[in-house]
Formats: sequence, structure tokens, C-alpha cells
Amino acid sequence: MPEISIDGKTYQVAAGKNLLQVCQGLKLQLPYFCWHPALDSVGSCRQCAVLMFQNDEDTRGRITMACMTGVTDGQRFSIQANSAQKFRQLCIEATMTGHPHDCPVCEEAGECHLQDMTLISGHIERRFQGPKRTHKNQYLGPFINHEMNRCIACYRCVRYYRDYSGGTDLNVFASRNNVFFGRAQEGVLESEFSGNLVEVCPTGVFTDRTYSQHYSRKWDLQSAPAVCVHCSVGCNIFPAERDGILRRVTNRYHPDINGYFLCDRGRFGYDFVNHGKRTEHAWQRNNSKQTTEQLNAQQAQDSLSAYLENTEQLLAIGSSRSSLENNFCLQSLVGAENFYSDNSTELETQLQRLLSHYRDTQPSSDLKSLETSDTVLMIGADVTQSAPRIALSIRQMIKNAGIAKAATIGVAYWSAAEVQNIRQDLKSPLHIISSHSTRLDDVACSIDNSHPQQQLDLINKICSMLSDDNPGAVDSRPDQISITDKATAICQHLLQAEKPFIVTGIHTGQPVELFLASLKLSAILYRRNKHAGLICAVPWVNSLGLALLNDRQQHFDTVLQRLEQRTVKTLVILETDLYRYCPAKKMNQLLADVANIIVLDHLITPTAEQADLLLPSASFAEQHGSWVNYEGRAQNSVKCFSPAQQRRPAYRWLTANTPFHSIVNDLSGIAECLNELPSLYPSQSADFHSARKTVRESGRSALHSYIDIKDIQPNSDPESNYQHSQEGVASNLDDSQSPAYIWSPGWNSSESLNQFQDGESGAIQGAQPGLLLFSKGQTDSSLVTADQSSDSIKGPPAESKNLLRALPYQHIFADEELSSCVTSISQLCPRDTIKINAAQASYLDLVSGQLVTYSFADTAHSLGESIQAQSTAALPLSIDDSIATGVVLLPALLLQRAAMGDDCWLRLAVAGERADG
Amino acid sequence: MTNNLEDQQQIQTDKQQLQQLLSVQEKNEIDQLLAHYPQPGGACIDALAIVQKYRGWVSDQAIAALAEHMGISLSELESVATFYNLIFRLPVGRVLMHPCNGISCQLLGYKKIQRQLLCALQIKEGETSADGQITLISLPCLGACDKAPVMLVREAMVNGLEGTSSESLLVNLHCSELELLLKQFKESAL
Amino acid sequence: MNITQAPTLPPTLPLTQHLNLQQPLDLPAYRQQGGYLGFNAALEQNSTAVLQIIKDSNLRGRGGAGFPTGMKWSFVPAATDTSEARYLVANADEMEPGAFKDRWLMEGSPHQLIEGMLIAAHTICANVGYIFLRNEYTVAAKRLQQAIDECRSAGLLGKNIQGSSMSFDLHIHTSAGRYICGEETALINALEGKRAIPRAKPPFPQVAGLWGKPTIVNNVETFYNLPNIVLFGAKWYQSLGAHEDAGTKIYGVSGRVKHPGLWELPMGTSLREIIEQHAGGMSDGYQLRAYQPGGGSTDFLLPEHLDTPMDYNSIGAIGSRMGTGTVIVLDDKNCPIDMILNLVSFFAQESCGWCTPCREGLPSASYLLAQIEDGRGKMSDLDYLQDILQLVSFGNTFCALAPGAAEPLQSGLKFFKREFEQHIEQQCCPYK
Ligand SMILES: Cc1cc2nc3c(=O)[nH]c(=O)nc-3n(C[C@H](O)[C@H](O)[C@H](O)COP(=O)(O)O)c2cc1C
Ligand code: SF4
Ligand code: FES
Repeated sequence: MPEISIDGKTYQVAAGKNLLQVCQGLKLQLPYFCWHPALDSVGSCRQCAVLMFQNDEDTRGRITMACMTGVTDGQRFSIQANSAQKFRQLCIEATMTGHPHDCPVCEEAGECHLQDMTLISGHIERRFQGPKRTHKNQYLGPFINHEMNRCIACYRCVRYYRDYSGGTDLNVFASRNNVFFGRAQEGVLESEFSGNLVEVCPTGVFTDRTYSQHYSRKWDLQSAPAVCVHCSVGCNIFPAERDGILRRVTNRYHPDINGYFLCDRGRFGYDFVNHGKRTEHAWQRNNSKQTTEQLNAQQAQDSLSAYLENTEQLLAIGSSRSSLENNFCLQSLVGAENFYSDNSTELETQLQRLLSHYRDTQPSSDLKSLETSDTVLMIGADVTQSAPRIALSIRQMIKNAGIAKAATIGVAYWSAAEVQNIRQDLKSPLHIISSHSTRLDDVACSIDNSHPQQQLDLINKICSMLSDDNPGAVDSRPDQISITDKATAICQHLLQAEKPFIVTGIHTGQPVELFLASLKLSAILYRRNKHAGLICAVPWVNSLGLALLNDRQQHFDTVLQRLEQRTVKTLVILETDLYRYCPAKKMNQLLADVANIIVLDHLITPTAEQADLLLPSASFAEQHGSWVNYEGRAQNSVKCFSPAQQRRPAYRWLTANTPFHSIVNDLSGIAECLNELPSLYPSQSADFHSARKTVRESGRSALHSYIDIKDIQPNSDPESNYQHSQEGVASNLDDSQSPAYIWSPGWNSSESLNQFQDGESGAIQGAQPGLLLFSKGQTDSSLVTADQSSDSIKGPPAESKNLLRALPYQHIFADEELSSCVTSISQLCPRDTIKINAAQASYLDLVSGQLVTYSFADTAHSLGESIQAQSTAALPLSIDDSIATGVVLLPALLLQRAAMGDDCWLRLAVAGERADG
Repeated sequence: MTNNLEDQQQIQTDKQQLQQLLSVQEKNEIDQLLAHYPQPGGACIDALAIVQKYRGWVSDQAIAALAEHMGISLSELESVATFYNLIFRLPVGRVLMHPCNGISCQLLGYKKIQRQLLCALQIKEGETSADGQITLISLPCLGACDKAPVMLVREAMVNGLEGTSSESLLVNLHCSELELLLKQFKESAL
Repeated sequence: MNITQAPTLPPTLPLTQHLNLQQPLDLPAYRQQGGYLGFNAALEQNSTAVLQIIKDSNLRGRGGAGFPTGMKWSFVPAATDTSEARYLVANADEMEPGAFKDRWLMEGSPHQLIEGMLIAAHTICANVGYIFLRNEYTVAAKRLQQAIDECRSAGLLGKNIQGSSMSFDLHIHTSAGRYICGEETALINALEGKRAIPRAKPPFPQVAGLWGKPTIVNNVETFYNLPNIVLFGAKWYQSLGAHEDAGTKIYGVSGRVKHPGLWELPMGTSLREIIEQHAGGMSDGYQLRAYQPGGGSTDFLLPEHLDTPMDYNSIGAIGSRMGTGTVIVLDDKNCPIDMILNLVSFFAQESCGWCTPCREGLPSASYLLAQIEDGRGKMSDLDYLQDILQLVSFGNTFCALAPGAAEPLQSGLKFFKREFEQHIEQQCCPYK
């Protein structure tokens, strides 16, 4: 451990770091702009200047950039020296010459890194009297505002957007003091991770356009440590509210999950909480009077009890997008035998298999370890669309080969530009096996877009190569030769790697056999190499949590059957829209005969419209809850603000009087892996309460003074240790629980995080990492049994011509229920099309843009009825040559709805014509 | 992000049109270049120069066509194009006049020469004459300081402008527009 | 093969012996006069031996910084794999204000550049070379291309040169115009087709340069020295110098002198001799006010410094730099502040925009100077200018462009303090 001295004090510091990282770890106040913990050093802003002394005799020292200086034993530095201070002051004065000084109208004001650094650097007087340079701003789409005049040219945006997230449409143009950061032409930013620009930009050039629509100063917001509900990664976020409106979501650092960055679905999807179609009151349908009546809370509660009195012919459906507590309370209330998941048979099977894989064979890996892996094989998942944050991590792992190469000539990983120059186009290998192109193709070293059966053959080949040192006789059939070649190439990389990773996913429409084969492959790899990792995206935020509760594996297909058999009298639906799993016409028929439909939800979904009793539930931002992410990590999400109107958490409706912590306690008792769940929640008797509002909040008297001069009593929260006020401990002073926001004196921007991290880039002190439910994985290789996977994909039901295997194409913005109803996001949803490759199209005599319909092959659906006759709406055809022959892609949601969980085989026809085989 | 079909089709046809925008000759030269480089991005500057050679400047369409042809992103190409002084992203006249504003030329009278030229052309620095013929862009030190003040006209260096008669300048410049111009120049210099 | 025997007598003007600006020598003529004999001599020795000669010769790079060429080359890692690319670049970007020597050499004697590059390529085992040529140098481009073509057909470039195992191909890359391209790491980025932003060092280009591969960048004039060094040895070369440094140097003078021009003179010739003798002294009616000894990015010197030998250390000792060795003379009729303004705004214009001090500091300085020159300056502007100098001084910026801009400004503020004050007090330029 090198020992260095800074301003006369000696410190033991970690080797291999640069001085700025070290200073951050030591909480020394050294300003910076271009450096970012995830983007590393380029030395362009020159703001982190310190004095470095040559030796003990040197008294003058020379200016050096901390971020570009690796620490070695015996170095002596000064941050405080006059000449260093003077330089930093002059530097920021120069930075500010072109800045418009428009803080009053700037949305960054009050949480602006530039403001903070200006003060820390000691620049207080503007001497430059000349004209400021001005730029035109661009329209960059519904998420991001652009105000180029505020730019200080730190280059972070392009470095983040291009080098980190792999975007290509944002860049720097022109030169000298006229550099412009934007797009070549106005237009929507293409990256799925564009929202991070808002936080990466140290000033107000890129700001959150959705926040603008209901802007409030940061210090008037209350926030809480919450978990994103828009996919299964479970990124940590800070939702922030004022006056009952959720204003925005920002990143909450978690070292092993999201790090510094979120995806756009997660960042901008929050607005569903403010949606016009939010449920507000309890309503009851009075069929006899043909009216709907609003109930008060007590009446609603009573009404629910009355409905549930008779448990005969009672059926309840839990939700993959609702918390463990909500699902658990519903399950307890109706009895496990009446509790069903909202997953199809296929999904339920895969989820349960994944759980047992975690439990018995191999634990899941986290994203930090994915980022440090050196080979990835991605199978059957376009994670950018389904669990986007994973893709961002894969993009980081691609760089590792270059980092390793740089290390061989003594260049540290944090020398970002230098590593890039040395790396050139060297990439750590990413192999992709998929039926069509993915958003990671640009960094892949091999892409196999083939029919699911061929994919399966390839995976099985790899399995046999990996499990067997002698892969056996070479199959000389031409397609088998090519499969052998491909498998050999992939195997080589997997075997050479120190840390090979399998990335896959579970989603509707994907052949189960492929998933099982991927698991098998992962297990074999893990048996050979204990550093091998597995990342498996699952459909929704709490899919695994629900699967865990649902140990009877009662799935949605049975629900459909029972509805069909008319054996359901009372149906309770928790926060899920049944119309997403079944065509509307069918669903209407199925629900028509259910006497009592009880819906708890926060949005007025088509299902909610069918309710006889509708109970308005709280969104994630208005309740406490825990969620189990793709890795089997339970995380609790703290309520940000109190629900308005009659909204309350679903668990409150379902168990009127049980204290929250008792619910958690009961919940923890149902399975061994959940035993420690209560530890996620800080004890009620903690010495400190945490404040959800900042100490700088306009003051209790001032905040609402435009409504009433009388102080408004803040809401209390008996269920947690967090206060709905500024009273309590700010930020992390109490390190027994996650801070509700990040702020430190002098550090008002999100960069203040560095004041709370354990060392440089460590976890937030006191923040809960969550609870890994299956961290122990038994690693017994005998558990990899052959029967868990098969050699062939279930074929079409009948050998008939022109049948295409339907697979879903996923989309980051279109697929997820809650975010897709948000205006900014829905603008970016693609128009539904049917996609096939050009050869297929010409074989079928179809052309791009043509309206086509599809019909199912004669298949006996689990409902016991043929769904062939279903008429489908015509969709335009689009051609995508990456799609394997024999495959047709349908929008994921549409496929899920149409197929009702079954594998499906389709026939396409020009709209208006009858499709016949 | 291309979100709907019409957009996609629009883009497809745009791409085709863009491809047609480059001449066969341009494409050939660019393809030769591309073969030279380990990565297509490496050929950026040279490719821009080729387009400019044939067109005098690089229009928005031309740059989009070039990006498409080279298989690199528009923003990458534009970023490079706008960095360099001698890639013109705005139209220029048929004749480029580059008086040298380097220090040696300034010491020997660049400012006066520039003023007179601008006045004769009735333009400002960097602009093109109303007839679209002549663009004046002063360039930094042209590396002919011993002959200062100098001017580059159509790639030909005109030396020792100070005190030289317009007639002797004309001998060096075989172009009628310039004769006209220099006549005006002479008149205004009187 | 028809190769002239090695001349027994070394040339007195080793850099310009073949120079002919009207009609440069073609390959046969160049060979006739002893051309490529230096290269042949090098090819007969192994690269370590040649490197040792260059080291011993004490040749210092002519691009401005005067870094010992042999030492620079010795940082290139030993070639383990001959198939791996290694690059050699001639820096012919010459955009330094007041510098015009490289163009002269290239137009007048293109083959000598190629010969120098071949020797260097042999020494560092480079297999691809580039001449990074300023866009405006079209005549040089034509002549160099012709020479390269000649060499290719004669087997001097390409595979197995002269029947040896050496392979080297040479290309001309024309710059799209930007002063920063002359900075060697920015040049490498430009060659890669990127924005010419400098790179941080380490890693040095010798280790990881163009396309991440070992790369040597030398100034054009540096290469011109090589053939005769190899041919006549380090001792001879050292003996050419008139003072401390070895060899001859192309010196130039521009400004209001009687005979502006370029001359090859012994390294260390005094400034007085250069300006008064070779350039013929000041034009009639003009007095010598001050001068920049080595191009626009060097500190002003005064008449009292005229007896200093023009070499790296001597000029360094009196507070300036030899730079490119091309002197810019300021007379008594031109306003010094206007001159500094011209220089500083050039550098501000040419800033690449990467680091803050240069990007924002230089335009501010340029603005302040313009205000002062236009008679709108304030005394406090002088302090502000001093602060900007501190901001952009060496080590504080990412590369040496901005510190170069600081040199005329800092010496100007010192030597022309009176003029600055006059401008401000009188609220006008006394020279107008
Ligand atoms: C802003 C800047 C511009 C430069 N321009 C040139 C140039 O035009 N030509 C040149 O040979 N060196 C130039 N240099 C110096 C080069 O970086 C490099 O040191 C030189 O080419 C090395 O050659 P040498 O070792 O033969 O001197 C410049 C340096 C800087 C910082
Ligand atoms: S000093 Fe900085 S901005 Fe100026 S040219 Fe060098 S790197 Fe670019
Ligand atoms: S943070 Fe070190 S130079 Fe920008």
C-alpha cells in the first residue's frame, strides 16, 4: 500500500488508483469536472489541479492533474498550496467566461455540480467583459432538454454516450471555444440510456424534460430509497415528490446493480404514478341498480370482507409487478390453494427452474461481476429491450481485453483515452445466439441468428464439448459442420476466459427448451470454472418473488381453464391486467360469468374496468415493499410519499390492521430463504429517524404558504423510520439505513455521492445492499441432469406447409405495462409490425409494408379449444434480414396476448385474403 | 430510433437516394481508401477531402451520403468534418482566395490587402461574392514568410503582394474572374 | 546497379546540397549526386548500429523542442514480430507562424526526405510511413508524390527493398488544416481519421501510437540530417556545429529585413550574423525593435541578445526557445501589441477545444489584447492577462499549444510594458 502525503498529512492509499480517486476516498475537497467515477480520467478540464513535489527538498512543486496522476509510494502533494488554489480559481473563471449565468431559470440550479465547484474553487468575481459565445439548442426527443449555452465543455456527455453506453448519435462538433455537443441533426436520441446524460452533465445542458413538465427545486422535493419497478434488474432509485406529484426519478448508487446509471425506461417510466387514469376511490358496482357507487374506506373494507367470506369458488391472482408483501397478504387472505400467479405454464416452469438452479446449482451473478468478466455468451435474450441495465454492463465487459492490454504496457485502467487508443478495436468476446438481431450486435464477436432448433443444437453442442473433453464423432452433415465450427469457436473463448458469463432471459414466447439448455450450459461451465457467472433476466420486477411465494406453482393457464369451466365465483385480481394475457374478446367472455370481480390496482386497466369492487392501491412510490430481482435479491423500497385520496397499499386493503412489520415477519416465515427479510427494514426503535425532505427544503412554513400560511402538519409514517419532513437525520448521518437522498454541505448535485461512498466508488455508507436469497448455491454438479433439457424444440402441431415459428420481438418502451402508459415513453414505442426476412417474404409472396394477418396452426390450446379461428387484426409487414428463416416476429405483448402462453406456429396471409395452408 | 414503419421505409429510400448522391468516381476513390485502413473511421478525413475535391464543399446531403457509404455514423463524420479548417461545410465560390494572415504577412501589410479585397468583393471575411464566384478566407501562416505578404489563389501562391502592381499579379493568375476582380482591386487601391 | 561511388568529401551543406527549387532532382539525378548512399550504408548495418550512430551524432529534433533523436528512437520496443505494424511519420504540417523551412526543403529536394525516412525506418523497423503534409503545400505534395513513385518503381519503397528483408511503404497524408495537427499525438489522431486532439503521455507514441502501435514522429528537417550522418559519421556531424549543438540548421528570417529568406548555416550561428549578414539587416527606414527567434510560439528577444548563438541551450538560457529556427523580426513601425494580438488570436483559433485553460483562456487573452489595441483597455486588464498567462503556462494545459501562445505574450508584457500602458492611457494605438 503506497503511502503518500497530502498537505503534510500522510495517508495509506490503495495502489493502482489515481490521486483524484484517492482524494475522493479520503473525502478531501478537490474540484473536478471531466473525471467521473465510471468514465475515469482524461485530464481535459484541468480543474483537479494539485501541487506535486519532486522530492523532500522541492518547495515550489509543479501543477499536476490529480486525475491523471497515479499514486506511488512516497509522493508528496498539496491541495491547499496557494499556487494550486490560484490555478483552480483561474481555471474555473475561464470555464465560466462563456457561461450564461442563467441560474435562476436553470433547472439544474441548486443541484448543480458547476455551482458547487465554482464555490469550492473560490471563483467569485467575473472579470471577463467580452461577448459570450452562443449556440442553438436542439430537440433531442421527449426525455432530454438541450441548452448548449450552459456547456462547460467537460466532454463527459460524449464520453458517457459514446464510449460508455455505445451510442453513436451524440457527438462533439466544431472546435476551440466553439465546441458543440449534440446530434448531427436534431432528433430523438437513439440510446436507451440517454437519460443518464442528465446526471452525467455537471451543469444544465442536458436536463430531464419530463421533470420540466412539473419542475420543482431539488430542495423542495421529498424522496426515499426505492427500487425501480420497470424490469427485473431492480435498479436502485430516488423517486422524488412534491405536492402529491412524483416529479422525477434519479439514480441511487448501488455498487453491484446499477452503479451510476439507469436505463430510460427506469428513469422516465415513473410518470404512471401521476397518470390521469389512476384509481382514486373505492367503487362498487351495483348490478341491480346498474350503478357504480363510491364507497368510503370502511365500506370498502367491509365489502371486501363480505365478498371473501365464502371461500368456495374463490380464486385470486397475484402479480409479478406487485411487492412480496402485497402478494403475500393476498395469498394469506385467500389461502394458498386459491392463489395463482399471473404467469403462463411456460413462464412459471422456467421461473421455478431458475429458482431451483439458484438454490441447488449455481447462484446468480450481479452486474458488477458481469462488468469484470471477460467472455459473455448471450442466448435468446435481447437484454437491451428486456432488462436494459444488463446490456450496459455487457458493454463495459467488452472493454476488458483492452484494459488488460493497456496494463501490459503500464497504462492504468483509469486512463480512459489512453486505454482506448491502445485498445483500438480489440474487444472481449461477446457471442450472441438469437433468432434475430439484438441491440448488442455492434459489439459482438459472433452472432448466430438462427432458427430455435439450430440454436438448441448449437447450445447442446457446446454443452457436450464443455462437459466432455472428447466431443465424439464429428457429424458430417453440412449444417452440423457449421454448428461444430461455431461451437468450437465459442467453446474456446469460454474455456480461455477467467470469468465466462452466460446471459440469458425468460420471456413469453421463447422456447422453454432453449432456456433449459442455457441453464444446463451454465451449470456445466460453472462446474468447470467456479468463476463462471450466470445472468438471467426474468419478465418483471417481482417475477421471482411471486414464483417464490407460489410454491404450488399455480399458474395463469389454470386460471383460464377454471374461468372457462365456470368454476369461479369470486375473483380477486391484484395489480395485474388480465387483458395482457388473453385477447379482449375472449377475456370478456371469461369474465362475464364471474359473479364477483375484485380488483386492486393503481391504474384503471381494462381489468379494473370489469371490477365489481375496485380498490385503489398505492404505487411503488406510495408504499413500502420488497421485491426480488432477477438474481434473487430481495430489496426493500421505501415509500416516498403518502398516497392521496383513498389510495392505500394493497396490503393495507387486504389486512386492515396488521402492522407492516408483522406482515414482513409473517412473510419471512414462509420459506427459509426469506428468514432474514425483516433485517431489510430498520428496526422501528432506531435512535434516529431519517428525513425524506432535505434540510434545505423551503422550510415547513414556507413550502405550502402559497396554499395556506398556516403550517401543514407533515404526514406521519408509522410503518417506517422515515419522516415526511425535514426533521430527522439528513442523508446518511445514520448509517443503519439507506439515506432518502444524497446531499452534503457544499455538494448539492448528485456528485455529492462521493462524500458518502465507502472509499472511492464503494457502496453508499449505510445503504442496504439487499438480501441475496440464494447466495449459497450448492454447486453439486450431480444436480445437472440430462432430463432438464432436451434435444429438440417442440415442433409445429401438424406437419403443414408454410408454418412459421412465432417469436416475440421485445421493446424497451413497448413491453412493460406501467411505463408504456407514460406519454414520453409511448411516443417512442414502435408501431406494431410483423417481421420476417426478405427471402421468407419473397417465398411467401409478401412485400414490405403490406398489411398481413396471421392465423394459428391447428393447435389444441390448454383451454381445450382451438384458437385457430381467431381473427387477427392486420399488421404491416416489415423486413428484417437478421431474422432466421422459418421464424416470424410479433410484438412481444401482442404475441403474449394472442398465444395465451402457448408456443405458436403461424401462417401469414395478405390482409383480406384467407390464409390457408 | 426508428419507431414506425413509414419512418423505416422513409429511411430506406433516403439511404438509397443518398447512395446515388455520390458519383461513381467518388465512390471508387473512397473504396480504395477504405481498403487502406484498419477501420473505416480512419478514412474519414481523406474521404471528406475527396468529396470536397469534386464539389468544392461538403453539403449536408453529401456528408450523409458519405457516412452511409462508409458505414460510419453521421455524427462521427460530422464531428471530424467540423473540426478541420479546410473542410467546408458551407458553399464556397468557384475561386478560393486565401490571403495569409500569419504574423509575417501581417507585419508587411496583410490587413490592408484583406481590406481592399473585401471591399472590392463587397463581402466580409469568410463570405462569397454575390455572384457566387469568389470566396475569401484568410488562412494562418502559409509558410512563405520570406515572400510576405502572400495569398493563395486556386492553390497557386501569389507572392510579395505589397507594392506589387496588379498587372504583374495578373500574369500569375489565369482566370478571368480574377482579372476582373483585380482590376477592381487596383482601382480601389488607388 | 548504377550507383555512384561514395563521395569521399562530405558536403558543406548536408541539408541543402541537392536543393533545387525550380526543378528538384529526379531519382537518377539524385543518385548521380550521391543520393541514397546514406540509406545503402544504413542498410548494410543492423539497426542497433545505426541507432548508435544517430545517438552519437547528438542530432536533436528540428520540430521545435530539440529532443535528441537517437534517444527518442531508442524508446521503441525491440521488434519481436516483424509482421506487426510499426509506423514512421514525417511531420510536415508546418503551421507555426513564421516557419517556412520544411516547405522549402520538400519542394527543393524531395528525395532527401524519403532517404532520411528510409534510414529511420530501417533503424526502428518501421514498415509503414506517412508524410503528414500541410494541405496548402500542393507543390511539395506533387513533387513528393513523384519522388515516391520513382522510388517505388526503383524498388526503394515496397517489399524487400534493395533485395534486403526490409519492407517499407510510404504514403502522403494531406492534412485538412489545423495547427494542432503538428503536435505529434494530435497528428496521430488525425492520421486515424479522428479529431486532432492531443493524447496524454505516457504511453508515448514510441510504444503505443498510430493504431496503438509503436510510432515515431519526426520533423521533416530532422530526416534531412540523416543520410549524411550515416555516411560520414557522428564525429563529422558534430564538428559541423559552430557552438554546442551538432550539425547545420536551416535558419530563416522574415519581417522588414532587406533579404528575407532561408539559409543552411552551422548550428549555433549567432543571431546577429543571421539577421544582419544573411538577411541583410533591416529594410531602409526601419529599426529592429525585437524578434522571435524560432517562430510565433517563442518568446521575444531584444537587439541586446543578438550575439547569442542560435542553438537550443543558448537561446533557452536567455529566456526564449530556438523553436523552428525561423526568426520573425518586429520593426519600429509595427505595433507590438498588434503583433501579439495576431499571434494570440491565431493560437486561440487553433485551440483544439479539449482543455479549459487553452480553450477559454486564449480567447479571453485575445479579447483583452484587442480591447487594448483598439484603445478600450484598462490597467486591470494587464493583471488579468498575467493571470491568463499563469493559467496557460507549461504543465497546466493538456498539450504545448497554449504554453506556446503564452510565450510571445509573457515576453511582450515584459518588453513592451510601456507600449501597453501607452495604449491604455491614451486610449488608442500610438502606431496608427
Ligand atoms: C501545437 C504544436 C504544434 C506543432 N507543430 C509542429 C509542426 O508543424 N511540425 C513539426 O515538425 N513539429 C511540430 N510540433 C512538435 C511535434 O509535436 C513534435 O515534437 C515533433 O514533430 C517531433 O519531431 P522532432 O523530434 O524531429 O523535432 C508541434 C508541437 C505543438 C505542441
Ligand atoms: S492546450 Fe488543450 S485545448 Fe489547447 S490545443 Fe492543447 S489540448 Fe487542445
Ligand atoms: S477532473 Fe482532472 S482534469 Fe478534469
